[in-house]
Amino acid sequence: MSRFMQYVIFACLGACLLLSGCAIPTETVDTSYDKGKAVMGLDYRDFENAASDMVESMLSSGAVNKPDGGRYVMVISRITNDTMQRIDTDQLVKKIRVELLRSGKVVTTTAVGLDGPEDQMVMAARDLRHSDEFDQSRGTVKGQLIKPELSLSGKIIQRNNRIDKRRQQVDYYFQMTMTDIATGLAWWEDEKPIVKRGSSKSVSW
Amino acid sequence: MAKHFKLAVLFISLALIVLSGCASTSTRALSEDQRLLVHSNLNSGVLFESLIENVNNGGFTEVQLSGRNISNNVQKIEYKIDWFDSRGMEIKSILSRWNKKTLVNNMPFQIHAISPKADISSFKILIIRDDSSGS
Repeated sequence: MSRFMQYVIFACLGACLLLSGCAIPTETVDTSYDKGKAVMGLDYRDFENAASDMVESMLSSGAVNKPDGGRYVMVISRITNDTMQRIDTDQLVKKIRVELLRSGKVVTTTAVGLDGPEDQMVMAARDLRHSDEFDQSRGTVKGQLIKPELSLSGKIIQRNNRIDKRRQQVDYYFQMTMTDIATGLAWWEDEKPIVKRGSSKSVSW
Repeated sequence: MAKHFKLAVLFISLALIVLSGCASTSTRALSEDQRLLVHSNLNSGVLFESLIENVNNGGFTEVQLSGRNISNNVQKIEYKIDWFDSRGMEIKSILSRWNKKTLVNNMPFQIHAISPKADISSFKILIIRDDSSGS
């Protein structure tokens, strides 16, 4: 092997060692106590904080306490994403639904939704009533579905403000309303602002 | 009363005043309360005065911890409330998460929380200094 080739091999090995040393290792985050730096966009901590504050507010208000002690049936209405980010609003709503279900005060219907049922199988399974291939003594009968009593709607808003040439502030507002469907009255409403200040070079979309 | 005795009483009184001023005041008022756990890194300047527990109409337990930042600096803390059922099992909930709170210097503060479900048997409030803030 020529001396030149030996140099090339050593150089390549050295470069590989250096590059492997510089690589950022992947780690799984413990979401129960995450000390990672905040980001200008919305991350899971923001959704968790917003959902938690909303549920606390709902439970404290007494709006979900049924007079006879039972559970309210709730439907998810429109949750508007008015931010510059592509957000699946279920990141917020699912947490609220789970927590309300755990509270024993509210159960969510998946048979009704503004864009059709959330679980289309609820209605699809009812089409089987006319099929001779199925045992009709089991399964659904007419009049079993329960109409929702409460509707949960909301909006996530983003406003960007420039502080100076180097810094910006991004305001996010989580707004939610619980409406009594029978009367159309908003029994509970709240807003949770999340404000972030950082480099104007950071993007929030 | 002898002059020496008067001087000794005066000296001891002064020493007691000085020592009480230097003592750590954190959690002094609620130091015996098993429901409150304060990390040793929050060692001075925060006084926890009262812990109120109340069951609301829905059966949910609401708690309010009141205190005062008696230092001349703004302090930042993190707190979390763990809820336990009648079997002593921890209830998993997003309501049991670490929250940040800023305590304004020489001002009172309140920490308020509600249980994730009714029929809670006990709870623990955990408080640490928020090191990420540099306070």
